[in-house]
Amino acid sequence: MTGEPRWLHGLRQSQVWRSVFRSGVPVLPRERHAVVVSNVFFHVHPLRMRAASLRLRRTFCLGGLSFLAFLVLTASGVLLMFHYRPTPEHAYGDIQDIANVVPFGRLLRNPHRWSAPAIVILVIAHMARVFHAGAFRPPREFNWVVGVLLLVLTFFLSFTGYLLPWDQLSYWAVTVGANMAAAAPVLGHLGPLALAGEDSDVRALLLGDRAVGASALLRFYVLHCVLVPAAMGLLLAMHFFRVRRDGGVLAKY
Amino acid sequence: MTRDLEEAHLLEADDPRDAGRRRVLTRIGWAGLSMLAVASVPALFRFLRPRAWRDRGETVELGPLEEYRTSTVSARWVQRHGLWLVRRAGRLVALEARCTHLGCTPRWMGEQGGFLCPCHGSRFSDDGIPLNGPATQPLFRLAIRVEHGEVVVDRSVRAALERAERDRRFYVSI
Repeated sequence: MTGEPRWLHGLRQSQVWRSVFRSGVPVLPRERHAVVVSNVFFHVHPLRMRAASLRLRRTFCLGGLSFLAFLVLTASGVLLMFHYRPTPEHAYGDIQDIANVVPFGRLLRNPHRWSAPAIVILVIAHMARVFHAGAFRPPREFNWVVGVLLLVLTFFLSFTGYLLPWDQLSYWAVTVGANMAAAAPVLGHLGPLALAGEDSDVRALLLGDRAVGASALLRFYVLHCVLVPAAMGLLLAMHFFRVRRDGGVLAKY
Repeated sequence: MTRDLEEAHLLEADDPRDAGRRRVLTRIGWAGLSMLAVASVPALFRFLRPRAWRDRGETVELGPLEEYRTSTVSARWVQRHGLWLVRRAGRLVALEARCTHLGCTPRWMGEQGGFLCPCHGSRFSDDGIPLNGPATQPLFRLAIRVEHGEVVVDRSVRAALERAERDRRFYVSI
């Protein structure tokens, strides 16, 4: 580039730089194409997008906002994990410490705690928008199914996360929820057509014991932090890919 | 280098007599993998089942009968055994401390308050009848007896109020 200082020019010609950045700043469409397809972070995005698809009233950005909330939850959640121990002795105290002792703890905890209902509302609004726009019609039916699965997982994340503060609300909410699960058909020991006994129905597997206790806390923690987010990540990848493949948000539904 | 590869290839040329053996070995391989996959399902299920299952069918000893002569409702064993001992009209009964709505543990709020459930606000009188709230069924009663002057409750035997009032297994005179 003309006008750049000598040292910068030298830097740009160095082997280290050229091994990381294989081309210069792209200008031509062909150059820009090359950069996108040869970069692992760029290549999961579309090559180009129509500027008009940013028009607000088409989607109100609800899907995007939901994903933003998901990212906020993931980032804040991972950082919260550094200061939280999922045992009955420590759980409540650790969260108090995060809120009152740990530097910037409240800045992590509060967005996490509030993004949870936010993502539920956004996801439901997104679902309503998709429905009203008819964006579930063929060939998009399967993506709607994936979306419903994502909805269920979102609810389950909320439910499992709710136990982790280990306060009165947590304990009784999960007691009630688990007792309702016991009344489910087939999988619950109190429901119709029950297949499993009290010690092996879905309630027993969720709680890991007769009642909510240390086992339940640990299981919910693993579900909340590892299993369900991993499943959601997989489904989200499928969900986004299908939207793009079917023409993006500007397409005719 | 290329010559060696070509020769190696020639040495491995397919002999039709090997086809049958390869087919058998392939099928055995797939069968083995499938069995592993199928076996992993009940294995996972057993892995996830609760490790310890405290037996609720216990008979518990709750101290001498004398200790309950003065109280109306004793919440002494709620935490440990999930029951209240209620003295009423000359009888001592064991009420199960489990709300009949969705299973939370109510709390005794005194004569004026009755049993109040923290989850959805169900309220029960001192003999377990629901006064208000989402609960519609009375609290269950547990089998109770006196052995050598000691109150003994069998938590695995429970009955609804109507039957318990008439069944000698569910109350003791005091």
